[in-house]
Amino acid sequence: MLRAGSIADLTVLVLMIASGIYYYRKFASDKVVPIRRIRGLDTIDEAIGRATEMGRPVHFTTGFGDLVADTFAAFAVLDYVARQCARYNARLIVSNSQPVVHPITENIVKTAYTMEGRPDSFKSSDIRYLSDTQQAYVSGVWGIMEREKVAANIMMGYFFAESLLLAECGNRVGAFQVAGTASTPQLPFFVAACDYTLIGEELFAAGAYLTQDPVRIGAIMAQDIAKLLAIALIALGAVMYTVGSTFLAGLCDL
Amino acid sequence: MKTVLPMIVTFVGGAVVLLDYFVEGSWISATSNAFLSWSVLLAAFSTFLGGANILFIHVRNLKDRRPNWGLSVILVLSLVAWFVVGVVGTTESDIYKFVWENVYSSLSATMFALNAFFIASAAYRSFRLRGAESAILMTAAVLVMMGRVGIGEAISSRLPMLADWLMSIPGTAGMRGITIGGALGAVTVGLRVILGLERGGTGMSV
Repeated sequence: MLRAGSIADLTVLVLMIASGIYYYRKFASDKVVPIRRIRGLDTIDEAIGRATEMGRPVHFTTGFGDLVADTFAAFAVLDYVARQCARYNARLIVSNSQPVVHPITENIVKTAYTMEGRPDSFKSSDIRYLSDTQQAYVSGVWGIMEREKVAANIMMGYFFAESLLLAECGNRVGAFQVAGTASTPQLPFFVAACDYTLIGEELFAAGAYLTQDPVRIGAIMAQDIAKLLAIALIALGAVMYTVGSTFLAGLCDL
Repeated sequence: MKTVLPMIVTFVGGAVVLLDYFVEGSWISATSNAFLSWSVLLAAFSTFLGGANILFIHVRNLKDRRPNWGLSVILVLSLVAWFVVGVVGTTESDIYKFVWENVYSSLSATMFALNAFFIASAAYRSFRLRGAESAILMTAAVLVMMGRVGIGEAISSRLPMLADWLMSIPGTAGMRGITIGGALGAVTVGLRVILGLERGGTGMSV
């Protein structure tokens, strides 16, 4: 038996799954799928290229967030960054704050280096667990950025109060910075302190954008359909509520 | 097997927890709660792996006499000492509490306090007039700042009202748009993880 208040949620979920499958089938045979440009992701190659030219490392961190959706989205970016670093022979340092995230990032980077035919370039000591205490993690990242003089700092995932502390340190060492998070309180700090910022849903689209995988692009289309539905419901709800009808609000509470 | 097993575990775990959200049923709730308890245990175990990684890196720094190896000595000694104090004396012991309150908390507060200066330096850089967008940003920021301090009210009684309007109408609308987009993105990532289309969590190439 369905829980009370979950019918509307289930309807949206079913709609998203159905539209995801529909668009996957539609895009499966296409070689080029339309997806708008995300400047922040385009500049990742530029950041890695800059680090390669300068002979300095690229730094990547997923923030203080645990295994949440933002962190999973960040894994897709890390995979891409690691592949590019392996391809251009740039050193990649990954710092982690959560012990559950650490072995995953290590595996992702190791697999990426192996897939690019450079397993010998992978150094497990460059994938570092620092601390699951916020300020200790920040000071650890500061130490890495200052000592290693990183040329690029990529911060993707879920961030808390450490966002500005990390971004300002990256700025101080002259790193090219790209950040991405769906944590709305931290977005202004990244926008102010970084060169490029992926805002909210752009981070979740990163995997699809970087890989051009039809399954992932299908999921992005499903996300857009749900977003259009949300916009329509907000507009319709505002009009109906203004004329005194609570029908739509009741429907959403089902 | 190395590829398939993590995907099966992810699918079963994710599907049961998701099902528990929609469907009422004692066995579903019990299984879902059990899975969530296991995840806490796994997270606790992974702390040991994290600690091992720290020791591995810094002991190697020491062994190879790498630059700044003295810092690694301090870190290893602190780590071992803190571990011994926590395990032998428990977290209720006087020495543990003393170090927590007089070393850890002070250092932590100092780090956090730096945010005040960093907000000023980041704001200074982003408010420089480089185009139409930064001009809008700077104007809105100046109006909000002026509306929040006493001198703003002294200049015009409308400034606090304008600051409140900027925060509660355009500011909130923008934030809610980002929140809705982010939430839908999180749902799609969650679905992709459960269905094995997003393999980052398994550590495989994604």
